[in-house]
Amino acid sequence: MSGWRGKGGATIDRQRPIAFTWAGRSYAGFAGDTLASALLANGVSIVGRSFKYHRPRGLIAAGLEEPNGIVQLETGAATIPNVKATQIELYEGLAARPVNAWPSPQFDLLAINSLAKPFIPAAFYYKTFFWPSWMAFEPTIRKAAGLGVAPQDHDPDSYEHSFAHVDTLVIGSGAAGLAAAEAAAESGAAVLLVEVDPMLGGGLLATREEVGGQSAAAWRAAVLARLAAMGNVRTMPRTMAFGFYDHGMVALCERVTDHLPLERRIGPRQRLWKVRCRRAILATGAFERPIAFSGNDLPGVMLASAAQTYALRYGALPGRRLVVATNNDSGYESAFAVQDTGAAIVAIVDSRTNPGSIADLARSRSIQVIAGSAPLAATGGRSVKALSITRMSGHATQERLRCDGILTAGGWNPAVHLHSQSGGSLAFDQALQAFLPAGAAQNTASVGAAAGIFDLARAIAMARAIGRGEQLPVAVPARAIGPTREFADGDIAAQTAWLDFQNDVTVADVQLAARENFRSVEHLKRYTTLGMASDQGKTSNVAGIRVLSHLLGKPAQEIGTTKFRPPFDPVTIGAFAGRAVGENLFPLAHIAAHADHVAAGARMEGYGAWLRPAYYAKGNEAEEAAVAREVLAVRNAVGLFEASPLGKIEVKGLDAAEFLQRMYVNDVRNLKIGRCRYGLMLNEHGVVYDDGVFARIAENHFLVGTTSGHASAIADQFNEWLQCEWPHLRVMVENVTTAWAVMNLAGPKAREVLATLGTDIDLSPSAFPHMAYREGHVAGVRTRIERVSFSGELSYEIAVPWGYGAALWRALLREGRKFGITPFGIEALMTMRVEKGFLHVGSDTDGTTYPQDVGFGPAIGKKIGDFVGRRSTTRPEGRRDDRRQLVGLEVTDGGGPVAVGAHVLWVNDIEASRTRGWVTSSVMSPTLKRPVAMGLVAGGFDRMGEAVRVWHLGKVRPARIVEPRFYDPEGAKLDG
Amino acid sequence: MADPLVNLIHLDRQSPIAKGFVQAGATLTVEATTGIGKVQFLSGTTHDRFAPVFGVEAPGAGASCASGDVTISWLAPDEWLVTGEDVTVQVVLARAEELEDAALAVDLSHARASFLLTGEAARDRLAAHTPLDISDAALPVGHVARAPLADTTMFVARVADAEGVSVFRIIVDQTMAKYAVRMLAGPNAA
Repeated sequence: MSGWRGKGGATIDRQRPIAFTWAGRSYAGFAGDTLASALLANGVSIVGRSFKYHRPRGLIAAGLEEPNGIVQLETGAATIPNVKATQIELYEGLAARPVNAWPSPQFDLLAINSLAKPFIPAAFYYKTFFWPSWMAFEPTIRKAAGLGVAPQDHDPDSYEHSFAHVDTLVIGSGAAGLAAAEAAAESGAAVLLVEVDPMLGGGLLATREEVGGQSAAAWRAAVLARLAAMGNVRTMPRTMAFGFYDHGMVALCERVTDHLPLERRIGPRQRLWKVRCRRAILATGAFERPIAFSGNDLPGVMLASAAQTYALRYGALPGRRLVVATNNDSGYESAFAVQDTGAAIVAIVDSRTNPGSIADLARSRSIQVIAGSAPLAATGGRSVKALSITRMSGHATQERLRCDGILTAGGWNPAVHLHSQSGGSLAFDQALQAFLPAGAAQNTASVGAAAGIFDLARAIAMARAIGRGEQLPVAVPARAIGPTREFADGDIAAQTAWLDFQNDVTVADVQLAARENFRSVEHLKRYTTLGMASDQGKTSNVAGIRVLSHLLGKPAQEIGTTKFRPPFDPVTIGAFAGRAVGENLFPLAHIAAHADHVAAGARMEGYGAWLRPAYYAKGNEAEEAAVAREVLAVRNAVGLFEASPLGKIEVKGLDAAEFLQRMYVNDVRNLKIGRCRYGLMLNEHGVVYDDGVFARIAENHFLVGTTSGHASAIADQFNEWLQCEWPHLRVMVENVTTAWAVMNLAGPKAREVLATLGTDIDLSPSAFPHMAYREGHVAGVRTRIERVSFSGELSYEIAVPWGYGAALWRALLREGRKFGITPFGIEALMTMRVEKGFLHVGSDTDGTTYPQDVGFGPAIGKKIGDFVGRRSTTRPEGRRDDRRQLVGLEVTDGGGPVAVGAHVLWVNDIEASRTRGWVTSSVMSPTLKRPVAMGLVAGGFDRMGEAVRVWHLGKVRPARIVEPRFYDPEGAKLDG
Repeated sequence: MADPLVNLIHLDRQSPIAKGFVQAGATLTVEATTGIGKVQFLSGTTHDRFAPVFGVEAPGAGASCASGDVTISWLAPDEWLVTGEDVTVQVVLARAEELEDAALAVDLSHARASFLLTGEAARDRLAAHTPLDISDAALPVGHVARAPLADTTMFVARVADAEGVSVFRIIVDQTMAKYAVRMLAGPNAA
């Protein structure tokens, strides 16, 4: 094929030339061109190489169904792989190159694969590369396979999301879409009309048919003018509807700046829309089917409708001497269009024996019509030189037609993708040999070509009626297409008759799959790759299904289609991400004194949803040294820790105590006012879910503490239980976690520091003992203080309204200076709690841990009444003797800490044959100057003092099971 | 024993938590001194409790009403958000507290951040991040809703238009305030 620029070109501006480069060479096109039309007009015949065999490929289509023109757009950080040339609007300075071809599309070294094609049919990989291991071949195969190259640099573009709500969403702006949108708007509906093309009009932009006595262009312009005058219609060109989800939710991708030169792009590149619509009208058009014959993938073989589009919209022609192969009238319309633009039509080869009056029209244009025949084989090297045809009833060559291009018109497949995604059913239409929309699952209706109606007047009338909200019976297509030449199973020509151009799937591959019993259409897809990759089989699926149908003697309706899934066409990852990149990917909450922590040298790290100080390094101090220093400061003097993220939930009401009694393992009813109690919470399966300290503020008012990560979840669970299970309980719940900043003052001198700030709360040990709660003022601000300790030292958790948190932090540090106060981070706190043997839910528990595994068996035994999870803990699984139980572990080799996650083995166990448990927490204790650890060990409570071995990545260390109370086991330090 | 308050140090409140912006088409203003409280009544008791506490009849679901200097907005059945001058909100909360075990009144002034978003582009800015229908028809002046705002949640109220332009009060958890501002600012804003 040798493309060229002919006459016409309704949507290009020949007064505005545009320079671009392709594969390193400079070319020129016009404003309004796509990259594809500009390449065609410049005579570029090979636009890429096929995926598997690296066969030279040219353009087949003019829209998003194009399987061959996959390009790498731009370079460096701005590069975008696998964009279809048909979807790239030409802009000044555009640079693109083909994919899957090296060193060039004209001469590709891996084209050698094509010579080996008979030996590497479909599923060759599955049968061959399994010995000695697929892994041995995978790197090489992966390197050879694939299309474009993903950018290595940070994406310089920005992307946005947006939501919209409309009464009627019309997808597609061809004649039917425009008519439906106008009718819907006239009835008062808020209408959104979206179109993937830069211009509204769809097929009207490339047809010479008349509409209502006027040209298609004039009709289109008139409708657009009326729509623009309506206040309730919004039109969005360059916008693809790619997903239809439940409850009328349709996802769109709007290309905002893709059509502009790189240096002129301002603002988001693309915007992803989520539209809720009460009704969707699908005017998505149809895709023309190629015709399968030997050599039908040669550059120069093109869909007839694509050639018509290139001719009428862009004035670009695929060749000078063209043969048209068709089985329906649309092939003739295309032939006439390209003929009028300047190409010669060598012949129209029609599979129908009696094409009717359209053939007479062709003859009147001096076009030879060969009826009752079909293409047999295209010949040529890197482009078409001739087409051999055959009678439909035979296999012998009837005639050889010299040409430089072949246009095929095998019928039309309505674009039913969105209808199917919405849950609608499909029915195979024998007349059109295509699947049509049948029943709708949501408030949707397909119109025009998407419904199998190709007559413009009928399509417009139907669309208007549906736009007005009328219910219409399923439309019946007007005229059947002609016969299709079938391939006998084993026909040698089937090996070079392509169905899926992007994935190199031939008729022979489908035959092979059927012979090997991959007869489900889903199996066929996976076995042959038919319909995979970026075009998702828009030109190949139905053709493949028809081949399978013929082979199996089974109606296409029974074979069905593969599942249509979003996206309809590829969408950039950037569009999905939107603004959720960088610091917006996972927004972390800042604690009250964040800036002070940073200023103090804190190493801030993400802990769940919060950014918190891990430790405070002094100068070049290493983490281990900093943590040790902080621990010893707390043990010997006083430390300050911000505990603001701890969950705080107010629970109030006449039944508050009864409610919490049901939610916690521990007793709540007998807790006195002004006292705190540790609480363990289970899920319904009896598994330990959370823990914390709850305080009784008043008779019917509690302040419930949770872990930092579960505050919202537990508040939600409280409400769920109250609203769904126990609506009769008189209880109200409110999460106040972020209302109160909390500073934890810990260490023997904590009381003295707190007193220095000034408070109306009696801090004496007798008046404010361990596990007590007090309200009052500190430093002039109202406060809630709990005397609870996760460090094992005298400890106050001082809560003030959040806005005063930073000031309290600074005041405590200032006033505590003379007592040697030291800020400490999460890592020091965790070290101290391991020294004490305190449980950390999530570290020392997993999804199988029952409360009795962590020492709460006696508490459960004493508790009267039910609580969430209680029944589950008493199942046989919960009573097994060998349950993994939380114990202490001491290494006995004098070495450092064991690794968290290391496996615990009995002394006589064969290494790594069976785990007896694992290490859950492990630290080097700065206080005890030796490593201490905890772990979940099978039957651990009855194994105190036993020697075990700890295995980690092939290394074994001796250890001993001990009580998990390494530091101050009597708790004497809690009172300072 | 010495006077426990003799060494009293007065702490300063840190606010505002986040800064607003003035951009083409959209202005976001921080309401730093707005008091925010929440009152819950025991299930099904709003009918009896609302008027004595707030001094007006309860608005319907998804609506708000004014009572003196405060605005009371529907959050959920028997749950009400009170906004206004901090001192006035405290008075209302204290009145609710008088119901003792029949109501839970919490001061959320420190827990939330409140903004006013207005301008020709305000609705588009908001629609970029919330699936809520914020059209005039779905969210007229005086109506409120709770909805996602990107990866956090918000309370949004359509307050009286200013110079013919829509105004939205947006209240988010204070820890997400800066994130909310980043989201509502244009994509190319610093």
